[in-house]
Amino acid sequence: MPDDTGVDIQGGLPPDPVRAITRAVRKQTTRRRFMGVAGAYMAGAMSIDALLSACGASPSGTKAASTSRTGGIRVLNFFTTETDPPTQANLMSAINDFEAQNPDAHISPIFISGNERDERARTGLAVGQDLGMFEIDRSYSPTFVDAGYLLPLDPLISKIGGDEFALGTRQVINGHDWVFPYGGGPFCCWYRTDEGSQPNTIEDLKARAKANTGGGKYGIALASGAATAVENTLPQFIWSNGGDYYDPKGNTVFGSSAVTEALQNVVDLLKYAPPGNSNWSVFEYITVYLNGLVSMAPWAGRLGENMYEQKSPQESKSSVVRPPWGPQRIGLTRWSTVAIDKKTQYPDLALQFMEFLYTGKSGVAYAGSVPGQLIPAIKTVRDAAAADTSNPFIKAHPDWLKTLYDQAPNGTDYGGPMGAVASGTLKLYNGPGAPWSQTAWGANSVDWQLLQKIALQNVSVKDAQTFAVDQFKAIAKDYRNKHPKWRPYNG
Amino acid sequence: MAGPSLITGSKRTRWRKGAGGIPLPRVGLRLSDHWLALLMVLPALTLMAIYVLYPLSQLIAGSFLQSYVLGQAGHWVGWQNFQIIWADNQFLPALNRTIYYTVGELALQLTLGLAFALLLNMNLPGRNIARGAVLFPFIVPAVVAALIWTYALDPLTGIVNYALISWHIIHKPLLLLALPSTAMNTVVFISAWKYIPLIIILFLARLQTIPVEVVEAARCDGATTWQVFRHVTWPWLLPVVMVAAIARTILSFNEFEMPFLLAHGGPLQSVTTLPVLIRQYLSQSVDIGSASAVSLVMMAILVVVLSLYVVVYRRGERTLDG
Repeated sequence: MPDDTGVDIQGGLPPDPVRAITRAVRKQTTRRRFMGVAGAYMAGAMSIDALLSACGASPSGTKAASTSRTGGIRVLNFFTTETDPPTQANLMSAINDFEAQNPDAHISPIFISGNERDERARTGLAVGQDLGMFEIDRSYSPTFVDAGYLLPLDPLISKIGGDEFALGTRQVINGHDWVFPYGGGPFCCWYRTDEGSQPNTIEDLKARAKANTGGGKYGIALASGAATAVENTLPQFIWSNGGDYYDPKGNTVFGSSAVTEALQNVVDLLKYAPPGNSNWSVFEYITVYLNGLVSMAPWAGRLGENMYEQKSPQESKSSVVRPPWGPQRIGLTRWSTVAIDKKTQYPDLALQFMEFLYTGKSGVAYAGSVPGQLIPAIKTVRDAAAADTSNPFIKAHPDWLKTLYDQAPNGTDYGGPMGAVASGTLKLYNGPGAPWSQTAWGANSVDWQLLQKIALQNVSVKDAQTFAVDQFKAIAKDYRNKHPKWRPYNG
Repeated sequence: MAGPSLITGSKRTRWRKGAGGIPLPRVGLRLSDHWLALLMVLPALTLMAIYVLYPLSQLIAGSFLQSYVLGQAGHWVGWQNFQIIWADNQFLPALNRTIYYTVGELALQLTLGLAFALLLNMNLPGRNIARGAVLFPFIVPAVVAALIWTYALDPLTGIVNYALISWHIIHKPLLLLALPSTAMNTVVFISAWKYIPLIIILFLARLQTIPVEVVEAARCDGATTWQVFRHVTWPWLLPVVMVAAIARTILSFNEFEMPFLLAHGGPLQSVTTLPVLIRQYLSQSVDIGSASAVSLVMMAILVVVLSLYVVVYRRGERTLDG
């Protein structure tokens, strides 16, 4: 019997089978039906989205990362790379305390990796996302200030007291503070106490490195590549020997004899470094030391923390000394900084939370989450954190922590005040780094190129240095040409 | 007798069946086939406009602008960005490396992929397990694959050097990723390892559709194994080989993960391919104009290469048909 499409279900073909089939197909997928299904689907999707939004779990990444007033609650995003479990736990505890004191506030921490931090911030700011409070590499701050991305932090810095901050940690640009230095990791020399005496000079270092190389072991963890691995060590040798890259006005001073000597020291030490060091990431420094493969490693407090946390066999036979890379003993102290998005909806809340997290008791607790790696820039907080014997790591290794805390204000970095060692000694000031930092010391850094020329192409130290001087000059000149309004820091 | 047309899109009055099959004119919103088709492709077109056309227009515009801050309007500099990258002594070497990487990877993947596909198509014991196991490199994320190989090739703690030294094949560790002379080839090999399963799957799927009677007929006519491959299997595979070659050319030419994750651009920049160079322009100098210019050049090169592929493919098709 034919149904209403004309197809005889029970017996035989209808008189016009083609038409019948066409009608049957049309019956199955009519436009009306299609539109109905599509409409129902869209309505369903919108309902789910609305439901998820109401529950606070928006499926849209952009939404999740925005700052909004929801039911009278002020929401502040906080982008951070401090993902050590103790630091995360500490942060969450601080947020709970803060929210208890400020019932109308909600801090939304967004944990990101160090690798994606800068690109994430750049992209987010460029597309108008409200980043709230966020970490940036301080070498970017001149660019971000130029672009009008950052909120001046003057009220908070004034409240705490500008002199409270370790010299060189603030970045005053155009008369304003733009970033808040919350923690520094000072690089020192970790060494095995059972493999020789404490190295205090570059000669000690070379002698120790030589004596401990052989039988599958190596004297020192040192890299000739890649860029990030080199930038964690080479500049320290330059500064410690009284050399620098630029003076505070941005003139290249890399051609000095102090730099030549420092480069030669590095080349000498590379002979005692593990093979394959031309392709290291930053992790290899820690890995080779923890595995007992090297006698010495230049690294910040995290190496000690890792030994302690992992109950490494090296822990009991290790110590740390201020950088012996040269007579000035100037290490790399990388101050981590946070900034506030200028267009954030609740700037006062951001300033309030920033103060809460990094000062007072919270500041001490935060610093204690990775002791020696998050050394506070604020003197009172730093002193309190150093004396916090309730912290088991500090209690176990007070000598390590003392060395690291003493060294913290005696270091610099390429994102810090430009030309701080140009005079031959460390003269820190609260100015920015070279605005061309990322070109000079970034992913294809000149240091890396020059060291690879020496290590892999047998170019002489002097020739490699000449190459680097030309590169540094060209980078600065190029920047000035592209940014004719740029002026060096003038206090 | 032709009744009222119910065919969609007819210009005549549209009808529907009422009670008892009585034709009634339709009322409400009506769409012709033309508009219905447009409506149906509208979502796809919208997505393409958002995710392809808009970024592409930004890329083209960006390559003629000078801009150092993302999201802020640059100023028009004409062809200057192209002149800058041409004058940059990194561009041509990076282009050469990209071509080397693409050709090397493609050659390895197609030859080894074909060999493995033929092997897995044979009736061998353990074939099903092997077919599953061969997918492993492809399902591992690129980051994980890069880490696996970085650890495996580590001169101090890597299993490769450990095994080779233990078996007295070498006396000191190989510095495969640490030397400019070997880094690129190592990355090509690892990348080929990672993506060969895709080629194997494509080839194997096609091999399994070869008509058995054609192969049997060839054998009955006295064709050798090589002749069967040459005159039956290969022509059957060719369309898939072309598709695989096109897909892998595009992907290899644009590949960023492996050269970057394995070698960070490589010692003496020996693995700095164009995608890695683009990142350098962006992350180092925030030179959006130069980065856009390199991207546009890459796209132009790919368009030319893919056009050649299509020409070769059509000629091949005509030859086979003839």
